Amino acid sequence: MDKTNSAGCTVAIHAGVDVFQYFGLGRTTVRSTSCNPSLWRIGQGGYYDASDTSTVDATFATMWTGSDSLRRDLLGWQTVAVFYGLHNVSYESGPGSLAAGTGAYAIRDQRMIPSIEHNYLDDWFAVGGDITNYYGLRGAVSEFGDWMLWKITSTLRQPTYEAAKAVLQSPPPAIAAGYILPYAPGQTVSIDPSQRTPDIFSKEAPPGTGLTIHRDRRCISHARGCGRNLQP
Amino acid sequence: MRVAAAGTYNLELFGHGSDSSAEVNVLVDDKTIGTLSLSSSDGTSAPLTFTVGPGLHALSLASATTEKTILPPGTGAILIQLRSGGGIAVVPSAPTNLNCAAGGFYRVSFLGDDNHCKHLQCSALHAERRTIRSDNNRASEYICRYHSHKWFYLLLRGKRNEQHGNRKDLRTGRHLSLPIECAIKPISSGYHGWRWRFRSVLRWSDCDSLVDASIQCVWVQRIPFDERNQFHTLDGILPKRSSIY
Repeated sequence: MDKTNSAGCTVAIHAGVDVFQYFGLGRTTVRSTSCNPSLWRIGQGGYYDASDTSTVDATFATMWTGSDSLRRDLLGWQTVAVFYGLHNVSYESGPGSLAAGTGAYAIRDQRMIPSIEHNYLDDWFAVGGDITNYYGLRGAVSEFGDWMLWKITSTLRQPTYEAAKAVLQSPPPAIAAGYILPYAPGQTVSIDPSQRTPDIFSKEAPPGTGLTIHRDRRCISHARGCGRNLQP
Repeated sequence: MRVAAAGTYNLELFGHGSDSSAEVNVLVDDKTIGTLSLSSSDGTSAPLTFTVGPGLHALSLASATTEKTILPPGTGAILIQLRSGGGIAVVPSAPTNLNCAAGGFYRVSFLGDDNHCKHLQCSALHAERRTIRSDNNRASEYICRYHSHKWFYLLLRGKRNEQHGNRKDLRTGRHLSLPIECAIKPISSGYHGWRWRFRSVLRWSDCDSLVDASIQCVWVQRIPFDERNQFHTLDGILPKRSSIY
């Protein structure tokens, strides 16, 4: 899918399929742009975290919901990228909360496979996320945790590596974000203003069902949602 | 906004401004498509026309005056109508950030089609009312049975808005609930080839305070009963979806 922004730049927009570039497993997707290719992506660090790391079980349970909680932020990032006609990428990403302690056990647990699959397939790519780098390939384990995709050179049958392969072998998920516009002439849809996404950095109150629009402030709506500077 | 094929649309706002001079600039992506005026009482604005290609697009609203413009709770709306072109998206939209408070009434509608279901028999449309509950920010309860071959699941995740607006993750054993009514109604006269278009309207009201909840709309083919139970028994790990959503 191509779109052209107000600067006349056309970029290809479609579900991302490139992942784990650090590990060299990313698929190559040909994209084109009519403008300077040096600026056609914006990105953040897309880590998903566990809110409870007291046990390995709790870590996995809350990593799952942590990924789902991140989805709202992903929608916000995607919205900003879409606004400018850019791609939304993660300069680094992966499971967080892997600090020394239970994290060392979690990353070696087979449940890491569905956890990583869930994050990338159900949340990251499903909202339109594009290329994402997995952190990290190899490195030293430290007090900050063990984050490696690949640790033991004699075998690649490690949960994180298996997860990477599973993601790469899965078809790109359908994009589930965005309010679907009507497709029959004359048909009308109503975008409920309560469906906006508040800005996580503005510390605004939970949204109400109406919107107050302030002067000179802009609301970026990702389908049903709006971005910063709108107060309920 | 998600668009399957290039189309031209009209956009209207329904609501009112804090005074009669309220104006709203409307942008689609980074392009201004025009300015709309709203009176001091509820009403529909004049339409603005915009054309977009396939893909995701951002809709922005910004006040053009010193006044605040309010889209009133429960009735305020952003209305978008297709004029020409367009295309059928293959998945329903997935509402997020649902809200619920005692005495409130909420609704959200979304559209979809059965492009991927070749054996659909559109004969048993009906609505159910059921309470869906979420534990520890994860849970699911199917709510709508479309017909014998197709199930419509709503997966509810969210957090209860606890004391004084503080947000806390739900802990195991605590629930949030959302009494919800789901109605699936055809919006066209029947089959279009293999496609069946539908409109689903969700309504909910009278629940505990709820923030940051989402309902994920999942279409699945008929699945075994025990597989449905996996939603509750796999320690938060949902089974892979067997079909589109």
